[in-house]
Amino acid sequence: MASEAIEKLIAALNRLPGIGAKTARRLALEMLTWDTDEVRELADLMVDVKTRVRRCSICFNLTEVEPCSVCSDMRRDRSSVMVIDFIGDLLAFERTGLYRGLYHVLDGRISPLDGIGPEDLNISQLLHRLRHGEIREVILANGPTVEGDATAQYLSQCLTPFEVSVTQIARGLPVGSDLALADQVTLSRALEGRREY
Amino acid sequence: MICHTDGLVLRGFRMSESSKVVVLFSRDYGKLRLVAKGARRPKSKFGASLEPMTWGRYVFYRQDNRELQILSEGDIAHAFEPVKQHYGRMAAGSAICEFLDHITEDEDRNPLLFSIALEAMRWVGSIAEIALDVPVWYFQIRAAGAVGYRPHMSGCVQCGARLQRHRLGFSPGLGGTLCDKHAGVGMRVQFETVNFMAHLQVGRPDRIDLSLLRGVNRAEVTRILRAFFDQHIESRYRPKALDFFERLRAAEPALPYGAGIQDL
Ligand SMILES: [Zn+2]
Repeated sequence: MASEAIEKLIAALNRLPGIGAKTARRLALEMLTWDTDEVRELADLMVDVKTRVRRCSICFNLTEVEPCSVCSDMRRDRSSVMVIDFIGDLLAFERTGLYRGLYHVLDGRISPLDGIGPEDLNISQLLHRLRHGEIREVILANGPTVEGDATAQYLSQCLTPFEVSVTQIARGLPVGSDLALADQVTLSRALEGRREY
Repeated sequence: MICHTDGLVLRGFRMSESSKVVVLFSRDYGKLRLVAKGARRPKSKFGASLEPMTWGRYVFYRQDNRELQILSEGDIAHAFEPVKQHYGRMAAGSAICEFLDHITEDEDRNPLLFSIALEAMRWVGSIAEIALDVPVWYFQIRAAGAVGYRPHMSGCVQCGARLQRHRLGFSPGLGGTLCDKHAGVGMRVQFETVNFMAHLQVGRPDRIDLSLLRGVNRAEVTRILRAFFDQHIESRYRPKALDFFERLRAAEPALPYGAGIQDL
């Protein structure tokens, strides 16, 4: 053991996703070579993020201002809302630059095995938006898993009383993969989701 | 050693950014915990074969004294799509997978239990929605029998007397039903309920007579099973999926089962 302080830092870094014990040790030793100011700047940034970044009260996106930059952007299509499971999914869709509507982050998926029910997700807030807004289309973009499908099924039941069009993003084959190696569930979803060409 | 086995995926956990751990109830090796590297990536070779409630053929590399084994292949045999594509059926299937996980130890081989699980999963996908509780009860009762905790329901567990229509009891501690004379020590139960539960013990799904559901009190079956398993199967955690399923069912009408049964 080098020193108690270093070991503590290694253990803390080790808690981050994708950082194993070895990488944590390398990062900790690297920080020791930095100037004290540089290290302080990094620490301040982390504290800053934690204290300034909140959730948007409308869509649950991460934001420093209320509402978030997506919800307050008047150039976006306010009649369309895409429902996603996690904030990471929102960031992924924003990277495409193709979607110009609004979002709604559920913060999870319905999962009986984990004891996560509809009441644990931001579903009532979505229904509130539908009741009091100008939304005409809901795009279900829940993850392609049993839990994501269950969430989509539940949502589509909740959405029937509303006069909105409900669509779901395509399920099926990843671009660049080999068709012959795809499993039967993936292929049948791809077939079900086929469209006019 | 490279091993091949059929198995039912009970659940999965995220392990790292791209990998996951799958709990598999396998026919040939019992319950296994398998690491599937890269399984969370969109182009993973495992595809949909590691989703919970999937019956597949799996290849893994087995090493003794390892808690986690390395999974190398997964091929879907039956994806139970009718279960996964319906909210209530998915909840029932989850309850079955959770119960199977709950009553088994790692690497304790039990091919009978495996085939009961597949039967129950198929039944969850095909039975009329009104009777969706039945495959779950069926699995709990048959699975308990397959691991050595068969509730005694064919007579009085104390004296062996035949069960009469009225004044019946059930004792979780004694592990079965009680006749009029001995019913004092147990919980009060109805004849129709016990009769139907006993019926579930004997047949395979295709031989279960669902007309016997008439007069069965759903909440009573649930209460009996809970009390029995609390007593006999060590419970370190509260069942989540079963709670979820029972909440969903409790919101449904038709209690006790009446009209509608003849259509089954
Ligand atoms: Zn927002």
